[in-house]
Amino acid sequence: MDTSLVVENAGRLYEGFKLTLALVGSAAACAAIITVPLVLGLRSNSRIPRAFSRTYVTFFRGSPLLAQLFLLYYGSGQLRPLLEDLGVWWLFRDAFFCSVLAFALNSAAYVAALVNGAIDGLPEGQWEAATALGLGWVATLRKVIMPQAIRLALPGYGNEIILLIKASSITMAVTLYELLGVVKVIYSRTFDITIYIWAALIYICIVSIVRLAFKLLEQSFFRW
Amino acid sequence: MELLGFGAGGWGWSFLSGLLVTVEVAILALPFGLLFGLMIALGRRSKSRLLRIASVGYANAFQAIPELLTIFAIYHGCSQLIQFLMSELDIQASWSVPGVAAGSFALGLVFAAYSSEIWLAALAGIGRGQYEAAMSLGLPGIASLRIVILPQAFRLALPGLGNLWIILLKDTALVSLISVSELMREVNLAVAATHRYFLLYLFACLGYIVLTKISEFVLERLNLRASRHLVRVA
Repeated sequence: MDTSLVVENAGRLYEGFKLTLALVGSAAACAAIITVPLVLGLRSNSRIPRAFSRTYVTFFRGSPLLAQLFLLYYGSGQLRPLLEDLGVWWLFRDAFFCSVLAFALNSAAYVAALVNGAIDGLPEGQWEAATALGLGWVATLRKVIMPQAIRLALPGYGNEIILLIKASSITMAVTLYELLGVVKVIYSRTFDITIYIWAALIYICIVSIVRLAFKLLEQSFFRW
Repeated sequence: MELLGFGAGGWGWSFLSGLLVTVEVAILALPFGLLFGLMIALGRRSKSRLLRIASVGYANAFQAIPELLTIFAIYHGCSQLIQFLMSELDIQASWSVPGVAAGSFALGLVFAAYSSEIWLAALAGIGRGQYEAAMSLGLPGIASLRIVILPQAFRLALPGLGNLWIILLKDTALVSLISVSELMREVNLAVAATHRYFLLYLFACLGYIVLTKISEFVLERLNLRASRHLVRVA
């Protein structure tokens, strides 16, 4: 196969690759933060936080990420006076920030459902045992429930990160050219279809590395 | 509100036709994705080493490549192929690949990769005795699969396939980027004309949520129906 296309555009592709990593990394970190109150809401005893969390999860899991990204990026422009009053307009003007926020909000819904399911998967006896030991609510979660739930949720979380890597390719719709965006630009200049095959190989490499990393992580969690 | 209505100045009709195209793309992708996915799953269980490697490679590759990349590659690849064929055969016509066909073919390829995992698990969930019984009845391979194995495997596969269907419905939004007039693109056009960004994009999200909720309801019914022989009457 002819490699000149990739060699010539290596710099651009690398820039796109870095942007993909930055998008995925920041989105995953923000999603982790948003997940905590969501899971607490889903498991809450009072109705309002539960209803809110459920609506949130339904909304973000029920509609396409592309529509959510458009809603956030273009929709925020309509709320500009409000956002300016709050002093955060400069953030929402930025395509990178909007993309990260959209990915984080979306991913958090999936991760919250995942963690919630993992906690549901633990036997009732774990809670009872913790209560019998006189552990408080926070200590129960931190010392008993979460260490076990994380093990259950880890494979699903790995898949979620991979989905995020793949999903990051849609930011070209809001003028942010990450790896696939760069590839699309190269294609529209050269009309050389092989660039798509190279892009596919790059993505397969990235995803394989992430898969391997999570496999090692799982093994270290299950080492006993 | 009249923006979403069906009267003059309302975008109701274009949204409705967009919604139909969305469903059309998903439904076109489904049979190919299901069948090809089953074939990949059978390939992964095959005795031939080459077939196994090819099937596993296919499944892993298309699960790793972004859907959008597959869509672009298929769309532009098919366009180039057809142009090449037409210039070779000296056909003077300007004919481009319909986006709906390219989009649903690409989404079908991805669906096949994911559904092969589910078929694989479902086939593994059928007891060995079923295969042996089919063989001892003298059923040839295809017949044993069609009459004995698949009807049972389908019940096991149904919940997973249902989830994939819902993912497929949402992925159709990506086809708007190759100019297929499905819901997302119709909303984009309406937005460009009216600048009611927030309302219209929120409406688009809700449109997809309605589709996924209807799907969930139907799938639940299907699941109940498929496993009705397991229900104990009190």
